[in-house]
Amino acid sequence: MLTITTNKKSQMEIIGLVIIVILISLALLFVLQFSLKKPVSVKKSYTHATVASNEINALIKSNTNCSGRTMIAVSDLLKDCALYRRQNGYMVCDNGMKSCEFLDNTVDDILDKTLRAWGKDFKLTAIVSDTIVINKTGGTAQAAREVEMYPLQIPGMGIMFINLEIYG
Amino acid sequence: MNRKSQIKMTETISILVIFFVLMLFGFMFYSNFQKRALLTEQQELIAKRAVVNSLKTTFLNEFRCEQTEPSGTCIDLVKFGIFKNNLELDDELEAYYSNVFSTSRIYIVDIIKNTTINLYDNPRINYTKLTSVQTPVLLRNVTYMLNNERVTWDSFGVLHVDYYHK
Repeated sequence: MLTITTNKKSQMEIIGLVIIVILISLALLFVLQFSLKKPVSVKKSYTHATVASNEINALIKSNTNCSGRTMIAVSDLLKDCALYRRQNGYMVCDNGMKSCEFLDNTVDDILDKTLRAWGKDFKLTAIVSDTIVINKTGGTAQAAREVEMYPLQIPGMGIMFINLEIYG
Repeated sequence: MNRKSQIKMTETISILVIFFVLMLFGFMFYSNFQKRALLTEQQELIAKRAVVNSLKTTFLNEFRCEQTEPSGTCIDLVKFGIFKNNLELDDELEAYYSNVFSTSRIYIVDIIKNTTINLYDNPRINYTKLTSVQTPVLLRNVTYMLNNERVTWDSFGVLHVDYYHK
């Protein structure tokens, strides 16, 4: 009888120790979960919001070196390219390139020196009436993103939606 | 009886020893965790300062474009040039803007024309690091022809604000 009681006593103690170990492990897991979670940095949240809106605004309104005689903005190239997509554009720039090709090169040049150089993951599209005028990506698409949209009226076609998504 | 109590004492002492060892490990882990948290907080504060400097510069009225453009998105290059000259020539003005811009370097890069215009450079003594904030902006150059015709050239630019720190 005494032996049985002694055995049960030690078993109870071991169970107690196991419960304590389990509780401490759970507490540690809980702490680790919070410590490993990276808070969104101030710089990142600012740059995503500001960069997206400023980038698209400056890009559309910026003049280009297409012609030395008349000022041709990116928005003009977008309109021309959208209207004459099949012919690769109607306007011909001073270097012999048509508007779509010149637009593509200009946008690539700007993106290379800005978003791509800063290591941003992004997607830039310009679509009007199922016609894709610009489709540029950098890095990998992620769930978290900042989206900015700029509408541009294309006579005879409707509204072109220029979307810039910055991920991360 | 003696043996039983000795065993009991040994048991209690060993539990206490294990308890203190666990406490020690816990304390070491916690202090390490706190050290990393403090470092992260310090980096966050530095990044916040860099962002504040960039915001101040982007929204300055001194070289802002006309009201047709949203604030913080456009820089008037003529006003920028005048401001830059005034900053270089007037010591009082420079001292005033040193408080605004702090220890940083501010310059704009015209992406289309591939040119750089420096505005302000005040490095911190013995700085070891630089936190950069880049903001795309529209650079507007307004000129008047001989017949008083107003010509506006808009270019894609980037405003760089580099914050010096240790």
